[in-house]
Amino acid sequence: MINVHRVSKRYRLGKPATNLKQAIAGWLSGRPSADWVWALRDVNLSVNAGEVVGIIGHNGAGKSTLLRLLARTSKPTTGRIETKGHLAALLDLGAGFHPELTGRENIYLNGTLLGLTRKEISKRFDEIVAFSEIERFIATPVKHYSRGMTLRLSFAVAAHVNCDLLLVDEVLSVGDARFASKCLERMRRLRDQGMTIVLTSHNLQTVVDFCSRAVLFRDGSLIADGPPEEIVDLYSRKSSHSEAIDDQQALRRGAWV
Amino acid sequence: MIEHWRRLFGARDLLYTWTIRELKVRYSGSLLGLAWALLYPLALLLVSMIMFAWFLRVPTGGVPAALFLYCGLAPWIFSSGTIQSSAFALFANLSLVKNSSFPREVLPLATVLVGAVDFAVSAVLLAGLVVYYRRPVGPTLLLIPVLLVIQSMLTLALCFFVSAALVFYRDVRFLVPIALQFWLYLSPVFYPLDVVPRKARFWYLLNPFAALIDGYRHVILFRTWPPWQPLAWAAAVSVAALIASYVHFKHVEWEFADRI
Repeated sequence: MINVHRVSKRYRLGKPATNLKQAIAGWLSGRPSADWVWALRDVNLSVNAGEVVGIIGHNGAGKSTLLRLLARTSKPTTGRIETKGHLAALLDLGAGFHPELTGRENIYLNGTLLGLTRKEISKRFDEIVAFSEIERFIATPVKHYSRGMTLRLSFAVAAHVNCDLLLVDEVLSVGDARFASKCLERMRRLRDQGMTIVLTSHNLQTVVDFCSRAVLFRDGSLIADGPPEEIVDLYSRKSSHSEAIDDQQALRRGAWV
Repeated sequence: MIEHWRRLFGARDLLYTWTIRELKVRYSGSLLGLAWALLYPLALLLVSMIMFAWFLRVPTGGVPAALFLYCGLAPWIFSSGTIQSSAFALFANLSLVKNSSFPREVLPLATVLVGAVDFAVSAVLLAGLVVYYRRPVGPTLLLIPVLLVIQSMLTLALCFFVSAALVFYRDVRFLVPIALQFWLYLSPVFYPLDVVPRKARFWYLLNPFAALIDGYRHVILFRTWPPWQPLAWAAAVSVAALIASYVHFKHVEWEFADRI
């Protein structure tokens, strides 16, 4: 289903040359104009159909980078990635929304961005609207929505995509606690239908409850792979004091599943 | 390449939805809406009438000056306007490019489709002028679709190139308007091809747009077939440019998300 073979990814550190002057100066001096940072180092991972994999690790450990590469928005610097089946990525809720357009128009826009046809969206339209609980505002421009409403609508569209492989990056904490649990419920249904899911999360309990397998990242390397309980346990034990504080802060900000 | 085409075909509903989005967003909140697609060429026509018909008395071969100028202006506005707005097709949608894995060429393609809608509106005015001045038309009109296809390919090629280039070099936003100014005055938009000195004619016609504008005037205003050599050249350049720019676009598209 997914085969990640010896993948490394490096990014420029600092500002890349975005104007001609810098670029020309870079060429003339004959040395690289930027420092590089390795976001992923020699990662191997293979995921079978129907598996639900949770990726855990500290901020900057390479979790999101891996999802971006899996979603094909970016290419590995070395190594290769193979994925089979229709893929949908939920990397940033609300990215495809336009504030001037109505909820209805944005559903079509987001749905087609996720690879649905307009016909498929029309068929699921009522279901999506019902799930998002914004029936009354469906003809209102999204700029008048609250942040919570936008996120709900965005998740509702993505949750009704018919795909074989779903990638989810830290986006499960949608709206209030009640809606968040509704989202998780929906994800469980997709999982039980046999969808392959790869997600990143800072909420370790979600990973234990929801995933069939977990992988741990540290400084761009995949350092552990196994049953969620064991990996989460290992992660908690390995966390140094300062890193634990990081996580607590993340928890307080609500940047967790 | 076949894989690219397959994915692009799979994204046709996105292309449609995105084009509608661009049209809606562009005219939302403006009082006159789609009428601007007509008002802009009309305004340009007015000022070019004052300058080129009244002051400079550009020879028009017996055609009313308004018709002669508009026949060059309408296609020019389609190409130049589209290229100008395509520069930001990717740049203005950064978060989308970063977080979504749709075929990126949909964005510049949609810009061309939006431009084509405006072009269709402004072509109605051209037809109106032809009727108003009672210009006879003939079977040479059949060549118009061919000219439109060549022009669209050339425009799309430049849109692919410009939209990708702006992601890497922000200078492009300043270079594009300058290049378009050169291109405008080196194309027979405000004057007929005849005023170009014979000696310079060969070099002048290396610009594929020159043959296209001249072609439109031949078939719409003069009921004559344009000379085929410059047109064949324009077609060859457009096809080659489209292939090259698409290959280039697909080659660098992986870096968009990292550069932005």
